[in-house]
Amino acid sequence: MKVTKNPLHNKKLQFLPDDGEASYLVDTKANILATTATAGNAGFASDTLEMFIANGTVWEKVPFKLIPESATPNMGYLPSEGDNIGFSPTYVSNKTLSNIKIGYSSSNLGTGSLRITTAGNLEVYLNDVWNKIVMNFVFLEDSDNNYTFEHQPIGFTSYIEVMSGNSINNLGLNGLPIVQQYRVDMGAYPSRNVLGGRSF
Amino acid sequence: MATYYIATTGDDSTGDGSSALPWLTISKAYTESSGSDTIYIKDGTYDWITQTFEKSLYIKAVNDGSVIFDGGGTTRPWINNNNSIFIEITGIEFKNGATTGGWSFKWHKNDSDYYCKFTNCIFHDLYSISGVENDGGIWTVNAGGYFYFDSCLFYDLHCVDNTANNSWAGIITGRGSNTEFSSCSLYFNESGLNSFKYLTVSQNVATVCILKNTIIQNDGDAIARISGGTAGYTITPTYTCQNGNWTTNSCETGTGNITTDPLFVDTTLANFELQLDSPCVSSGTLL
Repeated sequence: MKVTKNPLHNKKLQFLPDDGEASYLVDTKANILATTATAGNAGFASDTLEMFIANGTVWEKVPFKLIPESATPNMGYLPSEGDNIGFSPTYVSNKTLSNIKIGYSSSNLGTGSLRITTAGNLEVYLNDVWNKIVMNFVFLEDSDNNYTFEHQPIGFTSYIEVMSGNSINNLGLNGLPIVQQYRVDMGAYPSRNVLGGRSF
Repeated sequence: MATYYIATTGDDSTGDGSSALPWLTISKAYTESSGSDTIYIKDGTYDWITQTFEKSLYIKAVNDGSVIFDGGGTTRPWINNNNSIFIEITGIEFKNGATTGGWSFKWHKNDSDYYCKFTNCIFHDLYSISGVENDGGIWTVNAGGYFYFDSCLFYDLHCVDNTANNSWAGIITGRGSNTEFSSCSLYFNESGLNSFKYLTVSQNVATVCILKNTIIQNDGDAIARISGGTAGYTITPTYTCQNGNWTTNSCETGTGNITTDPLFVDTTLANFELQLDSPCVSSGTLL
């Protein structure tokens, strides 16, 4: 390999390859990207401190960024792209976690731990015990300031009012709820539920 | 998504579709509406005339059970005739289809993705014509079509005759469509004709029909078929009651199904409420 001045940019280095060798460019990012993307060629952008590799068609960015050597580096596999706020109990993180899967755990990992049990319950570890996180509940207020607490069972398309067990927004042809006291009739006309009495 | 109104006191010329100045006809409301608009229908009885739907719409009774479309025995159908649209119809009674036969609802479109949903609707006195395939009071067919009937009542759907064993029945779900009846009641009471199809789930193309929390009763002396056709079909009842004279009873097996008399209060008066000791009380499923 011959080491020479870049003929286009007099003060820049260019490592010109012998036959069969790749070249290594040190130049501005714009100039590197403007050159032919011969497969195997590499470039270091002196202005942005980024690395590029050519694949024969385009220049592709190497997915890392140079950072100064530090005796107290950030945690994590890659250097963070933001500040370090969040790696402390006294800060709210500005970091985003995406595509995270929570799995089963038999260990008590500490307050704030999450897990999904084999029974399919989502739980959080709090106050030294695993607590189930309830889902599919809504608390509604209508225009007359009436409140309802409703639950949508898994697989069911309607919400059921928790206290009555009635599907108050899913009615049969006679105006009665399709679901009453969590029970369902066959047919389009739900029967009126009759409460069983007790003897004195 | 705009909202429009029609009323028996409305006027297609002077109205503007508002609640205060409603139109008179569904055809006017359809013409003026755009996709995903809602057409509310005020209480009353309307002439049931032919209407073709080629855009998605919600069509709802202002008060469920207080809106009737009456064909007077000469009605022509409502037709869904476009791809990739949905139509939801809620709270309307449709009655008195053409007594000479023909479909009253013709929801079809080849190889398309569309769905129709009826909720809290009543269908009665609809007729199929004799010996004509692709016929029936309600015809929901073709691949890509999804049809949902929630809390609907069907009764007095008639076969004109049974020529060549080809009289299609009151409700046809076929040709690759997917139909689901949930919390519905279907009551038939026909005499003198055997093997006609009241609910068929195949017309040359494999078809799926799901029944849930539903009652189907053939109370007549004619033996009816719940399904037929030359291609495969899948009829899946769960927590459903099928009772009466049927060539096959799909509810003899399956989860939660029964075949005993559902004990409607009084079918002669079209009272399809359940008696207190009906086997259908509390026999359905939440899911």
